[in-house]
Amino acid sequence: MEVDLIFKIATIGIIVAILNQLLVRSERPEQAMMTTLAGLIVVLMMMVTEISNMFETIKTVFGL
Amino acid sequence: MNGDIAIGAVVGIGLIAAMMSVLLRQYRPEFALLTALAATILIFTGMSQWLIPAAQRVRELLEQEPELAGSAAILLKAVGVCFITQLACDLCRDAGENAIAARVETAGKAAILLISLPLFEQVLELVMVLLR
Repeated sequence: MEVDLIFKIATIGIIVAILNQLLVRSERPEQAMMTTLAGLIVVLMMMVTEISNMFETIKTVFGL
Repeated sequence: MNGDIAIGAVVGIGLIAAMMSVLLRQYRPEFALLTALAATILIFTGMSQWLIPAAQRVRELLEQEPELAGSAAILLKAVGVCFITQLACDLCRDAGENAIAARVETAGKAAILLISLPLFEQVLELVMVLLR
């Protein structure tokens, strides 16, 4: 089990939160929103393969 | 059997993910949800190596009895549908979307009803035989 994935996601979350604060404080709310969106997409791309792995395993275990 | 070691890993992943999730919820709630999803996937991937032999054993046990031959597949399918429905439902609830969670639950119930219809038919046939 790779706990790294959780740490990676948490790190990206913290970085995005900091960037978001910085951009909001410097009067750029649009870019702050874009940063959040980019972070979200990056994390989702990281997780897509894991999610598909999990569904494959569920299919084989329960014979769905 | 290294189950006792692996359960420690599962507990560790759960606690770490919970802490990260609580930390992130103050700043970016969507990342808290993603952390929870990642923890779910990791724990399930670790758990599947215990689940596969258990499911195999249940299947073998039920197939020994000719009367129950078809029911093993139905039982395991229902458990699988329950599992993924519960997963999606809990994540939706955590995200605060109770309505979506309820609809996912309804869809899961309908799917399980459809899966277990052959068993209902068997019970009904038995009742008819007894009534006659």
